[in-house]
This record gives sequence, structure tokens and C-alpha cells, in this order.
Amino acid sequence: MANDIALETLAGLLQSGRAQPVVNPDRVAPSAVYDLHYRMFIVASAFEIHARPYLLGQRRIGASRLKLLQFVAVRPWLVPVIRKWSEAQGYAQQSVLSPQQLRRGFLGDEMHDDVVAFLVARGAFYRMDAHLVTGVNAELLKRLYSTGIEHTLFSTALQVLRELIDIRITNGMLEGW
Amino acid sequence: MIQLTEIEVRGQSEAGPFAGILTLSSGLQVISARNAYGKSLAVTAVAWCLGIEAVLGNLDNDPSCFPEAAREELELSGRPSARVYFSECSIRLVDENRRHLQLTRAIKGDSTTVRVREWSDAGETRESKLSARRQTMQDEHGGLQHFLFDWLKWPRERVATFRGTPSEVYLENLAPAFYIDQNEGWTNVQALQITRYGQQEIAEISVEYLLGAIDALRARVARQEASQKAMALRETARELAERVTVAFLRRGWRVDWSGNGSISDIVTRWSSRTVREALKGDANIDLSVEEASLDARVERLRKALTSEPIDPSDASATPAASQRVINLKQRRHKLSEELHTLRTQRNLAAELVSNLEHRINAATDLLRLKTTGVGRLDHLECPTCHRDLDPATFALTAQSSESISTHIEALKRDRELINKNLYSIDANMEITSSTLVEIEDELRDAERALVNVTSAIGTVREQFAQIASDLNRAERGLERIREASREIDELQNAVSRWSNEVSAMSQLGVTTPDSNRRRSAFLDALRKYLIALGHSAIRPDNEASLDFDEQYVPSLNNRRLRSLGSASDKSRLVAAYSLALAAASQKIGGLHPGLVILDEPLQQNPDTQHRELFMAFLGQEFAQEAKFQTLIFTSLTQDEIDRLRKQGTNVLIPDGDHFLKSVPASPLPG
Repeated sequence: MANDIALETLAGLLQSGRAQPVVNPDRVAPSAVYDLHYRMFIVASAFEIHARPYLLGQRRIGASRLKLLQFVAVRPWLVPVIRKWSEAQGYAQQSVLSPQQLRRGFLGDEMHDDVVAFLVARGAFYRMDAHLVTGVNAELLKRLYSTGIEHTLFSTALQVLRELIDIRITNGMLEGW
Repeated sequence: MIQLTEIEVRGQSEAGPFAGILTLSSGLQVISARNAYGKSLAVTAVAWCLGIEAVLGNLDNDPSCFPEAAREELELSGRPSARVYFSECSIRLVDENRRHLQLTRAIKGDSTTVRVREWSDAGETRESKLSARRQTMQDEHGGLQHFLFDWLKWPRERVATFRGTPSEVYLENLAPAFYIDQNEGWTNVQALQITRYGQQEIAEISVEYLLGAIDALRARVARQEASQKAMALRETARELAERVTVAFLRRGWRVDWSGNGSISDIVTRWSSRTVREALKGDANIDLSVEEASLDARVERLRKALTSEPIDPSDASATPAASQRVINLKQRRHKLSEELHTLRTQRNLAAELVSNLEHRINAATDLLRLKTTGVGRLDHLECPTCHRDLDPATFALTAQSSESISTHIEALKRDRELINKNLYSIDANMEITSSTLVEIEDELRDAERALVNVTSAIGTVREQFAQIASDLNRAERGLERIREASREIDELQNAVSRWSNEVSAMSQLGVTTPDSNRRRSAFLDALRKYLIALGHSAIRPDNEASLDFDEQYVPSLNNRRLRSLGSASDKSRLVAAYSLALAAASQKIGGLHPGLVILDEPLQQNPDTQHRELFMAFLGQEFAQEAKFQTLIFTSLTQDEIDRLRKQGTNVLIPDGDHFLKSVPASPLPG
């Protein structure tokens, strides 16, 4: 496991000095947020819930919008934050005072970029300007989403994604403003 | 031991009166008639007259267990269908003392009551009308089951229920062991047992009752009640601990008085120190010392106010009163700040717990996905070149199930830690809030005292005002301590009462009943009947391995017998179990009524081997010489009837095409 190798490297470094590393593997298990399957489910669900119809039976979504949506879906405690942020968009003064925790944080979610790149390579999406459009293997997304519904997997994340339908996400927000 | 001597169904139809009578004798008898003759009507009439229709899945007084012929429309031989105006059935029983009993209940008509006629060979007759179902056991004068238990000289036994309310053993709990109905009765041992009454372990209790193992039954019920009582005591302990904690926190004292853990843990903990000792140990507060100290102060101040000399040159009263107000205001400000910080911490901790909950749920779902493979994509290929896509190329990894499990465990530990933290914050908030209330109170007093002192003219009057205010404060403090003392004494009494209840419960003492003899007799009889009926899993060489588990479920080499052998062995097991219970009870003087009804045992498995095994059983002396009455309702061929009769088996062939026949008009009895 990559994680184990990293630990060994770290242990080696520490041992090269005078430190005596004691590793408690219980405490160093990586978060489930960094699992490929989990993130694919979330991206597929975000797409299935929020994508809009596009040419000839295709569907599409703004890449940045998808990035923001999946970021919040994985962190449900950010829903009130994004709601306040959205409500403040029309008012310059409020916008300055509105919560700052979320702004631009999602822009640094590199793992999402990797997952999208993987799904593009898999043919689930293809890129068209700033959008992601359903690709030749788009049924993969549908299958992942319907499996989640059928087996009641990740229900909180799905609920968050549904709540986000009612929250207006502006271009300014997608740029982190 | 009783014997069923007659079953009768009669009534009035559009085409005139009709009736069907079956006269029965003692011992084994096979009642053979073709299908659709009306055998099941006769069998149902037995359950109906005994008021145990619940075993057939019917609601109270609902006669829908009877065929239409007895309720709605009847087709008498050679006549068109005729509407039934009225119908009823009756059974006759006789016991070993020649006491006779006839139970009659309407099928179409008022089915809520049963007419009872008792008589003896000496000729004394008594008639009564009893309620079939409503308060059937509880009504001492009008309940049918109450009467039947008396008549049968059966003891009334209390049983525990899952609802916590007491119940008792009813006839419908015992009947599934000797009344095997053709539709459901053969599916399992005691298949007709009633579960909707919520009685605990009722199947086992029924066996013990019929075997006469009343000591074992009572011990079982005592164990169940003790277990229920223990649950209630644990709940009381938690409530009591909460009361103690809240009472202390309200006064700003933090004391560890937990009600968690097993009853013995709580008893050990609570008996190691009293509530007062806990207060002294954890919060360093000795109420008696506090009370004595305040008492002395009150006495001193009273003396200073009334008899001691006042120094006229002492001008410190006003600055002291003023300083006290300032100090209290500063303290109030500090406490408010602390409370604000605690509230913020609490919100953050609560949010953290909620986040952790979400993360645990997500990780648990992910683990389910990994372990069950639901929606997992193990094979991912490029749609253009069809080569496998390696996630590592995209700097992505899929975690192992072990890694996810470890992560979940770590999250759960974090949640536990934060929850403890939350509990601690709550306790601190409670203490700070109550201290703040006290400070507010003191501040009001101090401000009032300052007004009085500053209004006074001259140092002597200023000092008087100051002493009076101090005295007032000390007296109120003393009152508070005494009130706390009283509340702690009350709590201590509640704790002691709880401990006494626990001791009383442990002295309940489950008796050690000598039920082994009865159990062994049942087991011996079951072995014999299983072999006689030809159960394929039991042979003379392995019969010794047959045993009962705690629930009287037969097992062979620790495997349930029900899951061994062939499919047709299930009905042989049911028959053997019912017959063995009757035989064992008869041998050891149990409470079994001495009557076993097997309805259509041959229809359960229409294979020739099953039929042949059963015929062989009926022809054996072992079956024929049983001391109890066995009624087998079935349909035999003429060859089979001849064969059984030749072997000495009593085969009864009722006459006519149907059980119910047209009869000459005569006034209906009763």
C-alpha cells in the first residue's frame, strides 16, 4: 500500500536521526474521502442529480459546478455555509461578511480533478470547453447512481446533493468570490 | 386423563334439520372416510367447543374456520343446496372418575357462549352457560377456560410476557401439543402455538406443564421475571444517578455518581460510599462541617448585632460593602465570559460529533461497498484502445476493506472522545450557570447592603447595617446548606431502597426443580415413537444421542432433528413428539389430558413410503396399547382398512356420503 511505503519512508527518516518512531497503524488509516470508489459514486450522483439536458439525449454540467457540488456532498456540514454564501451574493456588503470557510477551498480539491480525468479516460464524460458532457460510457454514471439508491449507500451525501438543487450557485461563487 | 366420547354437529337449514355424530371409544382409533366427507368439520368442532379457535388463527368467536356447509349453505344428499339457518356443535368428554361433560357452542348463532352440561354416572346433572372467549380465564363464574381448568384439576400458572404484564397458561397454549390440525399443525412441533399473546418461552412452558413439571415451569418464570426486574432496576439506577448528578451540578458541585454498567457493578460502586461521602471525596464539600461553620457565623453575627460593643472609630463598613459589590461584579463578568466560551465550545463539539457521524456513515457504506461488491467496478478499460485503465496513472488509489475498517474504528474512537468532551462541557455549563445564578443573587444582596450602609448616618449605624446584611446572608446560606442536606438524604434513601430491591431480587432464589425424571421419560418415549414411526435419522444404534435442548427441541448430536432426515420425516417428528408427550405424561402422572388428535397425517406426504411407514406404526402393539386416546382422522383404502383391522387396530368408518345428513325434525336441545 502506498500509505505503508510512506510510513516506512518516514520511519527511515526519523531513525536516521535520534528519533525512535512508534507507529500506531490504527491512527494512520487514510480517510475514506480519498478512496476512488467513494469519489466516483459522489461524482456520478452529483452529475445525475444536477446535470442538464444537452444535444441529442446527452447531458452536461459545468466542470466547476460539479467540483463545488461534490465537495459539499462529501462535507455536509458545509451546506449552511454555502447557503449563506449564496444568499449574500446579491449584496456587496453581506458578501464580505458571509462565511469564508468554503471560498476557494474546493478549488484546491485535486483529487476531484484526478477522478474526473479518470472518468473522461473511461469514456463516462468528455470535456467541452468549461463543461463535462456525457460520453460513450455514460451509462456507468447512471449505474453507479442507481446502485447507490437501490442499496441506500451514502444517503447523507445524496440528500445534500438534493438540497443543493434549491441553492443558487453563481459564477462568482464558482470562481471563489 | 380424559376421553373424547362424542363429536356432534347439528342445525336447521332451508331443507330441514341436519346432524352428524361421531361416537368415539378409548385408546387408538382411526377414523377413516373419503376426502370431503367432513372429517375436518368434526376435528374443528373439538377446538371450537373448547374455545381455542385462536390456534387455528381465528379471531375470538369467529367461526370462519368451519367449512361453508356448517355456516352458510349445505348440500344434503340428493337435495339442492339449502341455506343454513342455525348450526351448533358439541363434544362429550368423560374423565377417569366417570364425570361427564358436554360442551355445546353455536356455529351460526350466538357463538360467544358455550353451554355446559355436567353429569356423573350417579345421575347428578348441572347446566351452565359460560363465556367462550371474553375473560375466559379471569372470570371465575362465567369463563369457560376457568371452568375447564377447574374441571380438569389443572393448576393455574402465571407466566411472564414481553410486555412486562403478567399472563398465564391458557388452554390454547397447551392444545398445540395434542391437537394437530391438518393445515398448519404438521409444519413443526407446536406449530399452532400462539405467539401474539407475548408470553415468554410459552412453547417450553407448555411442555413442562403437560409433563407436570410445575417446579421447572415456576423456576423458568422466576428467571424470566428476575431478568425483567433486572432491566427495570438498571433503568431506575440510571434515573437515580441522573438525579444525583443534576442535584449536585445545580449547586456547582461536580461528583462522579454513575449509574452505568451491570447491576452488580452499580451495587459495588454505590455501596462503597454514601452520597455524602462522594460529595466530600469528589467536590471536597462536607455538608455537616459547612453547616456547623455557617451556624457558628450566624451566632457570632447575631451576638455582634445584639450585645457586642461597636467601635465608633471604625469607618471600614462602607468601603467593605462597596468592595464586595465590585468583587461580585468582576466575578459575574468572568463567569459570563466562561459561559460564553463553553457555549461556543459546545456548539463546535456538537458540530464535530455530527461531522464524525457523517464520516462514519460514509465510511461504513464504503466498507459495505468494498465487502459486498455492490456497484464496484473492478475492471475499467479505455473505450478507445480497450486497455485496462490503471487508477494509479491518475494518482488515484482504491483503499482496502481493512484500511476502511481501521479508519471507521479510529473515527468511532474520536466520536467517543468528543462525546465525553461534550458531556464534560455540559457539566461545566451547568456548574457555571448555577454559580452565575448564585452570584447574581449575592450581588443583589450586596447592592442592597451597600445602599443601606451608605444611607446610614455615622460609623456605628453603618456597622450595624453591615452586620445585619452579613447576618441575613449567612442565614440564607445556612438555609441553602440545610436544604441541600435534606435533598441529599432523600437521594441517599432512594439509593438505599434501590440497593434493598437488588438484594431482595438476588434472594428470589431459583429453585432447583427435579424435572429431570419427567424430561427423561419424555425423551425415552420420543425415541421409541420416532423409531416406531420410522424417522429415517433415528435408529436403535444412535437413539441414545437424541436429546432436548433448553427449549425441548429434539436434537441429534447437537443438530436439530427437524433439519435431519428426509422431507417426510417432519410430519413423523410432529406425530412422535405429540404422542411421546402424552405417553410420558401418562407414565409419570403429568397433566396431559390424555387425548391426541392427528388430523390427516397421511396427506402431509403423499408418497407411498410415508403411507406404508404410518400403516406399519398403526399396526404395532406399541401404538395400539397406548393408555391415552389417540384419534387419527384420515382416508384409507379398503385394503388398508382390512389390514389394520386384521392387526387389531380399531378403525371407525362413519356411514353415509357426508358427515352432515338430513335428520327427522325434532326440537333442538338446549
